[in-house]
Amino acid sequence: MRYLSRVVQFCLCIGLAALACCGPASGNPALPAPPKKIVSLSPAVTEILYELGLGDRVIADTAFCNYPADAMNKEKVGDFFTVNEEKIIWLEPDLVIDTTSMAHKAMWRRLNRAGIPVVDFDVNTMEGVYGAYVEIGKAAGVEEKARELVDSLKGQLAAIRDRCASAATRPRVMFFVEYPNLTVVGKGTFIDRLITDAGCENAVTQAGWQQNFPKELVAEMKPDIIIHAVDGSMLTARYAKEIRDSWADAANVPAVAEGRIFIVNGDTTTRPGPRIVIGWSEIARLVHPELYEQE
Amino acid sequence: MIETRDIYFSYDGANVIDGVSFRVEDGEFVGVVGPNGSGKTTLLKLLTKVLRPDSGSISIKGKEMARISSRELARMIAVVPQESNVLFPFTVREIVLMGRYPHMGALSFERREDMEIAEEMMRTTDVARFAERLISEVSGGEKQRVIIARALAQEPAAMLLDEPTAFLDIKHQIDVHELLKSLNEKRGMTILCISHDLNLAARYCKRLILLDRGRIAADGTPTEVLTPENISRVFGVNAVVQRHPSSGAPVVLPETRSELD
Amino acid sequence: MKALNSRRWIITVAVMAIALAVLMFFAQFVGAKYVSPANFFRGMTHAETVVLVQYHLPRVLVAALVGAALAVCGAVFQGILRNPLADPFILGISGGGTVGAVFAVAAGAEVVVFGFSTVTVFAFIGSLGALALVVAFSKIRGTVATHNLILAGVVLNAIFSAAILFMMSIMPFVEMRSIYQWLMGSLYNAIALEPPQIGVAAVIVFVGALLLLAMAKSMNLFALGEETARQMGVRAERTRLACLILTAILTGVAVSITGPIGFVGLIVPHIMRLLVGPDHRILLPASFFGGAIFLLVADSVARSVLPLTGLSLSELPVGVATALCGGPFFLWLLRARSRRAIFGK
Repeated sequence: MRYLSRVVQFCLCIGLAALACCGPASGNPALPAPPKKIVSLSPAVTEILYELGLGDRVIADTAFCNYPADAMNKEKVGDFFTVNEEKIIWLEPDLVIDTTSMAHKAMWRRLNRAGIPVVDFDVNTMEGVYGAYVEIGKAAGVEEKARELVDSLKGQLAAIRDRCASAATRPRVMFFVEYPNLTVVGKGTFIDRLITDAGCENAVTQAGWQQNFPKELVAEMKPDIIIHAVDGSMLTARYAKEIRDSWADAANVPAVAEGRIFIVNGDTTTRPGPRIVIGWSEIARLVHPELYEQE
Repeated sequence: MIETRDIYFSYDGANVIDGVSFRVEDGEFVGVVGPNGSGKTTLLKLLTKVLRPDSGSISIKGKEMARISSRELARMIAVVPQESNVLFPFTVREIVLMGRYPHMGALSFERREDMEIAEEMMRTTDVARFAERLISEVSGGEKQRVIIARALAQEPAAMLLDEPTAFLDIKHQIDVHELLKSLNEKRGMTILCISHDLNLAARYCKRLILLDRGRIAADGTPTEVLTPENISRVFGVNAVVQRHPSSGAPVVLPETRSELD
Repeated sequence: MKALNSRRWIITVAVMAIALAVLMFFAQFVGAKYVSPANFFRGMTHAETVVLVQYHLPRVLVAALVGAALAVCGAVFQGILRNPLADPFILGISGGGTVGAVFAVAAGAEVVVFGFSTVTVFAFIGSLGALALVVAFSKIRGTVATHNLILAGVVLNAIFSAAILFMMSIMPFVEMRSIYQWLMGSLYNAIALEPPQIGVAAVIVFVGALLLLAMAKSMNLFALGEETARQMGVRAERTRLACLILTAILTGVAVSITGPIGFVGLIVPHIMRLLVGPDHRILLPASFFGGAIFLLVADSVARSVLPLTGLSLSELPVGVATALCGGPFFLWLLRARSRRAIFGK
């Protein structure tokens, strides 16, 4: 009897699954032209969409999409790690834009099967950001504007690079992206290149991000400047003071002795995206104030 | 019915059973007595295939123990342990019915025949009125009778009991032994009963086997076995042995140290 | 309660099976947004069909399977180990599974077997490995003693926990976050399963449960004491080993798909014991269906209560839902049925 009921249930399952399979087959459905209901799963993409003037077509984004202010009012379908797929389907978007990630592939397949096209960009590099601008611009019919913005970004970043190239000294910098579990940025990363562009030298020789970096090692590396990148939402004067005070016991570090500990907004300095210029021109001013004296 | 030939057994080196041979015929009521550590419980475990002798042989109804499966053995011999710790809330009837398992297939339910046998055994041991009560709710004496009913439900040819009345009061001790006696006399049940109570064993058992450090020190009628010499030698206690005024069975009266002085 | 007979067995099993089928049908309509069952007959929108079939149906099926497997294993362990506080994870099986899963992510392996993800495959291997270790370490003189088993299981769990914490501390944050949901135990992972995988899991769970049911009488006898069970014809060694292997497989399947979900395996057998009695011939099937229904309901609550009330868009961890659903119900049942105690003593 129990066996029988199970068999019936299993047949039900097969039947409904067959129903689903009769729908759109696997493979990315064609992109709509132009997309009118966009879901963004990446803060960088959200900023790009707004820059391109497509902000009103965004129907949902992630909890981390906090810029511009209007993005915070949108429907939220996830945070950086978990995505509520069901909610996306209920919203019936005609395009979902995501960051390139192996882990998300299964989700894209499921969304495709639901008839929703998914496009992904590797927005972990500036090249990826430029590519995203252009592709989105093409799909939405604002390719001109996209290319203008890309050129402008490239130009501004080049300007910072050129100005800092003329600096007399190249201070040693250690760039921390987490507190209190110190995670420092190493060689070969996107931030590492920006450090170089800003006329500095990354004191950390290991590659990639180094988690749980011990404070004793910091003294050995003798950085002239310590930079802490903090989440935009957590950046308060009190928090900044707390972080600065935490270095008080490391007086033998040059950066501490000279008081060159800078707390900056992580949103504009660690995320590849439109505002990267804002963040890094601020950093350039902090590390090479002599180059900006005239202004 | 039960026969052991020269069995030896040790747990870890020292022999706990050190050359035991005896024969129990159908219908006998035998008591096994001896001091702590003399091997009584080990002997019981050997007779029920829980342990295997290091050497020697045991045969039940003429068949070698090694060739008898556990299930078959359970149909021939039923064991009543000293104490039963039933973990889950089974009723008395459910416990007694478990005695029928050796007669049932793995996937079958109790048949009407099984229910009737269980009912009869509960009546015999006078626990029928508790049939629907939880085993945890009956008294110690009643619980032992339930376990005996369960053993009876196995319809064995022989019953082995390990100090069945160790934790019972005097009335229940007598009740249980009277029950055993009637089973032995009316149904011809072979009974082998381990006991610490020399007097009760002497009163009810027709034959006593006295164990001493893994060997049989004496084997015969209670009068033959329970002599002051044997008691002193095996138990290390001085005792006076008298005759029970009504039954004539030997009564062992140990003398304490203060009395000896 | 009258003694068990075949008629009572059939009726109980049939009632529970039907209840499960009905609940499984209606559970599909529960989710981040409520879909009216009436739509099922009137015709659903495309979005509704997709959500139901792709997201709810697999979860409902897997919840039933995992709940059934865990509850049956819990009942078996309580009987065989003679311990009312035993649950399927007591011998370190979930610990081994978690070690396997974390290792798979930390090592960045990509091994897909018959459509089951890497994490699932490694977790299953880890579960079986844990059982092998527990059995190996608890043998004295060639036989496995129950108290040794439990002790070895507790110690192994501790070792596994340490190993897991170590691996997680050296793993990059992003990778750790990716199996965070699995580690907490969640039916979310069920949506990655296609019908063939669900079918395979169903067959394993079913066959395993039936094989365990065949040993129900021996489990009853274990309640009288291991020695008594032996003396009544149970091959204790063989029975115990068979039960351990089967429960390891069933628990392994459950844990490897959803991560370790606690409480089900412990509490459902006790609830069913209060409702249908301790005879394992009825307790095992009752636990099977009871566990399925329990986890089904708990998961339905877990995935809908937060989005529906607007508190958050993520799900409640199913372990929270099982505790919230099961705990109070069990306490109430205990009071209402105070006649039948949980423990024999």
